[in-house]
Amino acid sequence: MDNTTLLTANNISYLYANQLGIRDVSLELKQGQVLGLLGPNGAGKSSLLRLLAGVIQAQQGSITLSGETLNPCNIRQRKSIGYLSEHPPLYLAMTVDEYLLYAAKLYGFKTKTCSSQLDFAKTRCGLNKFSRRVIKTLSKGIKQRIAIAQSILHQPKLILLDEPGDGLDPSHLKQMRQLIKELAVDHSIVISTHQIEDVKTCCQQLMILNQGKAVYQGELSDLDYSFKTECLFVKFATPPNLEKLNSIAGVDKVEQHDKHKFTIYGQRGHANQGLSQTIMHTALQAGWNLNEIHPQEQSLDLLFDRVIGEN
Amino acid sequence: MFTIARNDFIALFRTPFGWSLLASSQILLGLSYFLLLSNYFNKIKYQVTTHGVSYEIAALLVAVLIYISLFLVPLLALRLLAFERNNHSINLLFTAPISSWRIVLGKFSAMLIFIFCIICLLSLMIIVLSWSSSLEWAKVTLTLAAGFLLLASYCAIAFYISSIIKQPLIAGFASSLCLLFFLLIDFLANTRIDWLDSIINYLSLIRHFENLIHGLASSSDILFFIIVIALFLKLSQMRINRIRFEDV
Repeated sequence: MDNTTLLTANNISYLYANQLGIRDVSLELKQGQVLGLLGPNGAGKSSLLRLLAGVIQAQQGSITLSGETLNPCNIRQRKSIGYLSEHPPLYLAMTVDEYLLYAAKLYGFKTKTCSSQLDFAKTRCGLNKFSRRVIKTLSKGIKQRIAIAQSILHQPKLILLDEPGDGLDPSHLKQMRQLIKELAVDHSIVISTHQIEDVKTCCQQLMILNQGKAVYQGELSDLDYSFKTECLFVKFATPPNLEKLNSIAGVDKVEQHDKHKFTIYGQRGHANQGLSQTIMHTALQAGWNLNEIHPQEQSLDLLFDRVIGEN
Repeated sequence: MFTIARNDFIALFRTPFGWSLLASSQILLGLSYFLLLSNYFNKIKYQVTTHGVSYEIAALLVAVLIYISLFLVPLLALRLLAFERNNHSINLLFTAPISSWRIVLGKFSAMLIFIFCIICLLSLMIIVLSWSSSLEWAKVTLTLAAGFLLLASYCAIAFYISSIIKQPLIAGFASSLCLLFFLLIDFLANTRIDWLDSIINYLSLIRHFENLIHGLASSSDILFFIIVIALFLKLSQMRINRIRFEDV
């Protein structure tokens, strides 16, 4: 194990009453890294986070945190982990200070030493001006910040956030992403999310889960390398025959914008660099009068669809 | 444990819930107090033999509290457990570095503090009687202690029911039925099989309570309540240990 490795999971599996939760997943997270868990509903993201939080124990495989095997019965280990579950555990009738003080005491801090922990968490999450506000009167974005503050106030090595941006409006989402980026400076973070933008903004590492299995794992930039195929924007002066366009060797999919404009995706594994030449050649032969052809940037959403589709 | 107990007790009064429970119990106890008082004066007026004010008012008032608590304690339990499970706030405890025993004992203590407050208010009504009549203080104290033990058993049973049923309303209803069953199980003691009848009678909470309010401070009755409390707290702890892995 590398000396900067904080968390490792080796071939972990967890079954829910004969339904598959997590199947043979391995991962490694170094200190200061942010790992994004991406996947469709029911893919096993929350289950994986619960396993990493030590809330449930893997039926197969093992998880180690700072070199020590994670065990749900070992309550002491929970002090090293900050876990925000899918449903933020908020006491709505409390004020922000009361809630955070209660959480700090549950983590074993004495009343006298609590104030520095509270200040740390509130400053990190931008909650200072809401200290005396009752939680139920605050917006969803602030509530989510309070839940994150609760999960970091004991200054854990590892922070696990289960869909932290769920249900937030674009402005709150932006703030949330900024907060995660700030937290990543001195914590290792695992985020489970549906939002591809969260991954793009906050994560260096990515794991795509589908049906309990890790179908992609690695650096975000490697995803481009592994799954990106040639994607071309083309414009013809004469409307082409769509069937013929689709049947060009190496073409995977054609998206029609209007009669003249198309986006053409190349097949994976095909010699993509030749696709533009093939299209130009076919257009010339068919008399479609090609006006414009240039590569187009592919979105992470499309790559995600492709990874899930292929698995 | 004290952190949880303190927080949960205060939390009851952060919303109208705790105040409503306290107010409604005091209204019912107050009405019963005046009814028992007028009944006692009528008995004196018509020279009917009475068991003395310590039994006629103090003990019967505690008995009224026990019947009121068939609804009060389940509401308390569902507020502290089923309701918190339903809105996920309990996940804060489930993910914190504290044992399931501490969670159970903390929440149970919060319920006991609430019950203790009600018994203290009820004691005030009884103390008022001492201005105009001579109270048998030992008997009254034993009655109040018996009431507290019985209500503590209620709390343990209702807490366990709330831990096995997630829906607050169903948990409350089931707890009330269960408490009524344990309170009056001696109604079933007519099987004409002596050993079975004696077991059923032994399991009845009200039988042990009656022994104590009649001034029979038997250690076996006290031990019975302690066993019931310990048993249901252990069952709750086992259940909490399981649901903390399921719920989070």
